[in-house]
Amino acid sequence: MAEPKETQDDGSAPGDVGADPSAPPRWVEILIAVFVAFQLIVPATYYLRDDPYDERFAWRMFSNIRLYQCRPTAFERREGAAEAPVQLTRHVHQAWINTVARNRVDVIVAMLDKRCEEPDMERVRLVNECHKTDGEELEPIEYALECRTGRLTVPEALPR
Amino acid sequence: MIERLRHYFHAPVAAARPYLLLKGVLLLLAFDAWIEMTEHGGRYGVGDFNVAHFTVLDAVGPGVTADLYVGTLLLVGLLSLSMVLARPHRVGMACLCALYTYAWSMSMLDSYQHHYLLTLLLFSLAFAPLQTSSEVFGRLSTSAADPEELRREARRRKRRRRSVEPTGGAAGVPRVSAWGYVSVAVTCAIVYGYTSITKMEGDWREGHALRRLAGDNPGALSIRDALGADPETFWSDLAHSAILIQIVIAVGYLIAARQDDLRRPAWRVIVALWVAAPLSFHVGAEHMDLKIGWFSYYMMYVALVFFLPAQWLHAAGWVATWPVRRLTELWAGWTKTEDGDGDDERLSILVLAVAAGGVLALLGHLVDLPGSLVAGAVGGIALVLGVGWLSSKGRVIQARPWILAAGAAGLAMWLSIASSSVRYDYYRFVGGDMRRRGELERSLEAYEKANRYAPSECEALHDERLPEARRRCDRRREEAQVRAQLRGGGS
Repeated sequence: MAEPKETQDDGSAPGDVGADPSAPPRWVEILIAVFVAFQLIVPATYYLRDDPYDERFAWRMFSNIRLYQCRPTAFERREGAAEAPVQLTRHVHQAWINTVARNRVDVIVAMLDKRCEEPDMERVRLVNECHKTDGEELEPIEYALECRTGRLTVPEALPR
Repeated sequence: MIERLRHYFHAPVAAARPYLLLKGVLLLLAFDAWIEMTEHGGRYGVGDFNVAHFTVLDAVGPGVTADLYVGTLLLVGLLSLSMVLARPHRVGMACLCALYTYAWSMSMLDSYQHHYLLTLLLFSLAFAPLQTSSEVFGRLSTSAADPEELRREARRRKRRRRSVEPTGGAAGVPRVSAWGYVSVAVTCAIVYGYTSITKMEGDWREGHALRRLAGDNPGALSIRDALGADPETFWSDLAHSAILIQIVIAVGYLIAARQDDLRRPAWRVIVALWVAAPLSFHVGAEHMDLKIGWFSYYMMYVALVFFLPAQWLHAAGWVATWPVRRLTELWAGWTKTEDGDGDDERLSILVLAVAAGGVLALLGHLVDLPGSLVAGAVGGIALVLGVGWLSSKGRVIQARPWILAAGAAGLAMWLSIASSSVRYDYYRFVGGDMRRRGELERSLEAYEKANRYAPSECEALHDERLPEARRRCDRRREEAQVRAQLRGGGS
């Protein structure tokens, strides 16, 4: 006679498998397959993208790109005035400037947008001067936003 | 192939493994959230600027502030530790995974990849067996006065004996099917595998990245000197060895997940020795002071659970959970005499929950960080609602451990924050940022608060041997400078 089983929430019993391991619920098998595929595909998409600097979700901890040393400089032009450098730390937290120095396009564009909200702002520009891990200097990477028209200029292909 | 995969994920493993993995990760997470992560909360919402990891959060999420970030983290810790102390619940695990994921994803200010990794681990662990220590390691005694309890315990023992596979690696210990646990191993294998691919790029293999990362680090240089390595080739050799070791770790996780199936003792010894790979890798990373939070500790703990022999883990778990099991049995004995099914019992448990909820809110207030009062209050309300729901279903006995666990978690939150430098660091960081942005009044306010919470090590400012402490502690000078600036601006 079969003994009554004390089951866990997942149907298994303490001290034993409980359910037959050869027949797990269908939804569990689908979930495992999707979860594993998700984990394999998401990092792989990094290698298909044009933006080498966005290394999120790609398990590229301490990669070469991550260790590029970049110095961001921002410039603004207000109506009727010449272009002038901006001290970014006056407007955002230093941690965001560190993120900008890593060429995170989303953050850079949001920052340019934010500066364009200022009255009389005509154009905002950000330049990142980067050195690779072997010390080689990259071409300056420039992003610009025309505040009136909203025209955004970003490099066609980010250098690496 | 499908059958093999099915076996890989679903065949039983030593029950101590998923139990210890779940409890250990939750324990680390609670204190990581409180001690390591909250101190940086002051940067959230500064200048009304934020970019979330996912566009949808920017579009529909609430405005990101320090209150929201810190409050979310405090709640993460409360829920996490509560589930260490009481039997975890799938709804609780799902809430924890969602809350923690929201904490890091609300802003790109948190770009630590291991926070994303923890989300994946929490997701898997939500599907692991959610057992109590008594179910995994056995009860210490049975209540002799209760024949039904004796019969239940006899059945449990019989099942445990039946499940023992004398030729398997986990001989003599209870086993359980745990695909959520196996899934964690697969995740780790994928992470180490991809990380090794990252390092196969030319510049990395030549050692330039490592040299930049740790070229000035005394720990790294001491390794170089200890090995007597050629300074010219050391970084390149180290880079190649890092690639190799990460591949070894990735393969190791895939094997270790099923080590309880191994029949030959030699194979089990090899898997046990394999733990040296992840341990040496992460000990080395810590030695190089890479500023990666508690990532190494998580990964070392996970490695120990996966690679060590089942009997060792079972024994360690048995010892570590002995006090909890003893207390649980004493508590059960006490509640057995007090328990009842009537309205009085329901009312008393609700009153207890409301009192514990009030204590949580009070502890949140005492923590004195932005969002802490709200976090305590939300935790308290969630506790009352949960207990109310359980008691309405007639499951009063199940509600009691949650009240105790939540109360203890609240106390641990306050103690860990009050006894560490979290508040000091939080407010001094805020003071420094405000000062840089010219908000001197608010900067001064933050510095004053920081000095109120200055750790005892800051009393040793005069000690020349503590340059780091002096640099970190010299906030009174900063405060005085801000005061001078304010006077200058006001005159």
